[in-house]
Amino acid sequence: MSETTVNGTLSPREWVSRYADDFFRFAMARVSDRIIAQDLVQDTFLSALQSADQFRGHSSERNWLLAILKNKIIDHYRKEGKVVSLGRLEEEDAFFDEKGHWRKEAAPQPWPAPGEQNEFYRILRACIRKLNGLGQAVINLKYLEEKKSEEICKELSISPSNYWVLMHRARLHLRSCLEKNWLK
Amino acid sequence: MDTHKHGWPPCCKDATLLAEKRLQEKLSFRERFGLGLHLLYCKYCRRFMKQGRIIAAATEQLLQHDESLTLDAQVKAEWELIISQKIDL
Repeated sequence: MSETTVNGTLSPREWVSRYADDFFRFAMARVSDRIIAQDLVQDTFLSALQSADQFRGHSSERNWLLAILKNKIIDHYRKEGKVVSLGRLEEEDAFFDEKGHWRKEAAPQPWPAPGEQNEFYRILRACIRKLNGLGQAVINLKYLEEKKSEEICKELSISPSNYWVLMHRARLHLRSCLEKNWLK
Repeated sequence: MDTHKHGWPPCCKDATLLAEKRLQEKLSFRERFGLGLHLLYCKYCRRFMKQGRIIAAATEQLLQHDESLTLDAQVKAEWELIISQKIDL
């Protein structure tokens, strides 16, 4: 870290080596799609170049770039309409009946002791990818970035009760997806 | 938001939500008591709780060591090229 930025100077030639990996990981935790995450990071660098004259050095170069990336991610959520998909959560319940009991076909079955670990992980990965956008987002922020629930609520602009509903849903889906695909 | 009534002790839907909370933080006394009571007589929710723990641990393992989260060197090289071209314009 010999070349830190001082008062309003940027070193764009260093951006990729300094920040690309971190930023990509950050974006992947939020959009879960390689191509989209790459595009967001690339767009961040390009927009930053264009508005480089607006950099005043009030924040570090890294934080300034990260703020641009965060805005890109929010725009992406907006475009995809992912922010509004919360409303659909309670519409239909594949897991529980109207009294809140397990539906027969969804009730958890006993699992054998895990034999082939790699197979279990492979299926789990596929099941995570099948979750909807917000479901993936809460799982990634929780287990990849190890954020606290309050931080996740803040970042996704959701209430604590929404958070628990999303987590609960995500866990139910992962469990049933694993049971269907791994036990067979 | 929920359409069904929240009874006592909690139904499976509410109990599994409490189980999910329990995986991540401390429950209040009432929540802990309700969940514990429900688990006494419900084998499905006991399984959900146990399997939920397995899934949480495996998810953490998986995501923390996910090689798909690294960028290709080629992509980075391209970006460096694009950036230096823009600067030199």
